[in-house]
Amino acid sequence: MGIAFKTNETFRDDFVYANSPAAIRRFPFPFPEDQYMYSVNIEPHAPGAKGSVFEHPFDIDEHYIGECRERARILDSEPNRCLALPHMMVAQWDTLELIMESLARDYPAHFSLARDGTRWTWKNRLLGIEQAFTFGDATTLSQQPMEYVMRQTQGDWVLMDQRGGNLYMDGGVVTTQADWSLDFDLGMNFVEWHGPVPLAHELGVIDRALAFLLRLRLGAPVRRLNWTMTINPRLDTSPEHYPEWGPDRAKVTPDNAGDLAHLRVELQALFRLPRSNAIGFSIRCYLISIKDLATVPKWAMRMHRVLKTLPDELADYKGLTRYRATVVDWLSRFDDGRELSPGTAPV
Amino acid sequence: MSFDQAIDVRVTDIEAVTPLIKRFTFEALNGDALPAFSGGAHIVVEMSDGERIHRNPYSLIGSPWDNGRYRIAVRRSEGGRGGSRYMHEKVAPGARLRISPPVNLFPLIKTRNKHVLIAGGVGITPFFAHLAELRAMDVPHELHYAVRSREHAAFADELAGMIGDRLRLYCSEEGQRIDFGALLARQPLGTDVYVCGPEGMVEATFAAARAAGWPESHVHAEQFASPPSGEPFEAVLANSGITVQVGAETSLLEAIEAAGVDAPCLCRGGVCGQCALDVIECEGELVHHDHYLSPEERKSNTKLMPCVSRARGGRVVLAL
Repeated sequence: MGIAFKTNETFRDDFVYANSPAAIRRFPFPFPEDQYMYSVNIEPHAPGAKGSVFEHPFDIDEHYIGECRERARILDSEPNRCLALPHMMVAQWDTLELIMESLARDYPAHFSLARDGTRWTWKNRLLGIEQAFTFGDATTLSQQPMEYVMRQTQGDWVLMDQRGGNLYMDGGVVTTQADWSLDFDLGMNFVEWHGPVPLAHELGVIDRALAFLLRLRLGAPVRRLNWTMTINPRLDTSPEHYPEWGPDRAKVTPDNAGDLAHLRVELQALFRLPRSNAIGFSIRCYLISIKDLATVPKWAMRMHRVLKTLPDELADYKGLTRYRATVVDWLSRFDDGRELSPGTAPV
Repeated sequence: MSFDQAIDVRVTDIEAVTPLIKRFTFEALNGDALPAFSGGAHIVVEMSDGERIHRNPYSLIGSPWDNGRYRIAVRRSEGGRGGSRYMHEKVAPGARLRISPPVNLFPLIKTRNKHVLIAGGVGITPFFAHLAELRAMDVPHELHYAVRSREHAAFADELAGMIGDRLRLYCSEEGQRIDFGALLARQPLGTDVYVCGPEGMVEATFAAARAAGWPESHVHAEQFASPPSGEPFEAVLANSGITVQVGAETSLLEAIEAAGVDAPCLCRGGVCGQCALDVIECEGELVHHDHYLSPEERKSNTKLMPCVSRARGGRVVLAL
């Protein structure tokens, strides 16, 4: 184990955030090739290499305390960042059970769960929480079950109800998102909420992904990586707060590009939930400055090539257009044009 | 079901509920609680019967909130392919079986205002868990349960204990029949109907719903059809270099599995689409029994779902 948890991180205003060398080494770099294009790049969410972000279903890392603090701050001031339609209460309990079971099993030094029938006791040593409650009785927790457990989890969570051959976004806790809004998407079906994604509909990616997910099996979760870029290590790039972060994109200069521009990678995992038959979608965000990324020579070269060749529609959709050329220039010093090994490994 | 996620269980209890139906209770062999499930979910039970392996789907009965154990009800079927006879004759308390994790292809639509459940015979099984959910959700619901005679209605007493006068029992020997038209005509807007039972009952429900102008999205069926029989035929598995003979009473999927080829599959009922195979060549014609392929895909003669569909009049070459 031995994670050195940081205690003073912030993801806004003064941006106190950095990745340790160990965190850089385990960063989920998403580009196996020099060019990026969509694919239904789904694989089993099976336990990955020890120490990697894939080792456990829910990854806890050195940023845990700061991220939980950031989530609490947002939920306290903007309650509509956590929403669940009434028929999703069973899925909320499924969520709580899945995450508590996972964390207690995978990080016994930090979390524990004792179950005696429906009388459960949860301990979170990192946040100093000890909570006895009755599983299935929301009045025994200080928040609804999904909010309760998500305040102690890194990454966002979306609940999809499955009915009539479609998936409906009927709940979630979303505070670390790449420019989309749960409040806006709530109640939409899978095809509707993917409406703005360019090219993917024409390629049939959305329909194939939906057909696959409708058959997602209990105990066989799947995952994929998605990516974009963010200026500053800002977790909450929500449309609601666009006026605060949108202008940052005009601040990137040849001198500060390596510090300001961050690669933002989402480890997205999908779980069939047992009692509700809903699907839980975890979106775990990892941020790394381009400067830190460039400490790995292969990643610097590949990032340079991916950004340079990215189709304009995708650059627009991801919001990179204004500063893409500046970051490409900044990275070009690392790229001698040599052939790179396939795959995402650092060497 | 690919059995990569299979769970080993022990039979802890067997109870004769009616002259034809036995209820089996399973617990995990390793002592863990079995995974929680949702109303309408089924498991596939794998039975090693000498050389033959049966894999039959059964609905989980009981409440999704009971942790740990599974219960299924098995109706003995004389004309079938032998899985239910095996369960009735050869499985005793203490026996070990392998099961798949639960899969739900017959869930409640939780956003609706009212739920009408229609069951025939052993088709009552998925509704036990549905009723537990409906009671927890506190939404209007009613159950219409048709049986041959009182002797076959043993589940009705348990159900009456659960839901009281929301149960309406029909004994065909006593001349009682469900009037599907009248039943659906008196439902409020926003009602869904769920039917599980013999084919005639399912068809009658759908016909009545259509006649009353119900949208199809409000009508749901789970049929307990074993794979339809047909003429024997030969299937060539091109990638594996194996030829299998498919008997009249065996499904193509079972023949493939018996040959030791791992074919992806899930529901074994022609619904989920997991097992669909590409057809490279077909001498005769394909006989489709699935509910998954589009009319265009059927006509193209390029896809076949081996869990329920077959070939007739010659051999078929498959990309497997």
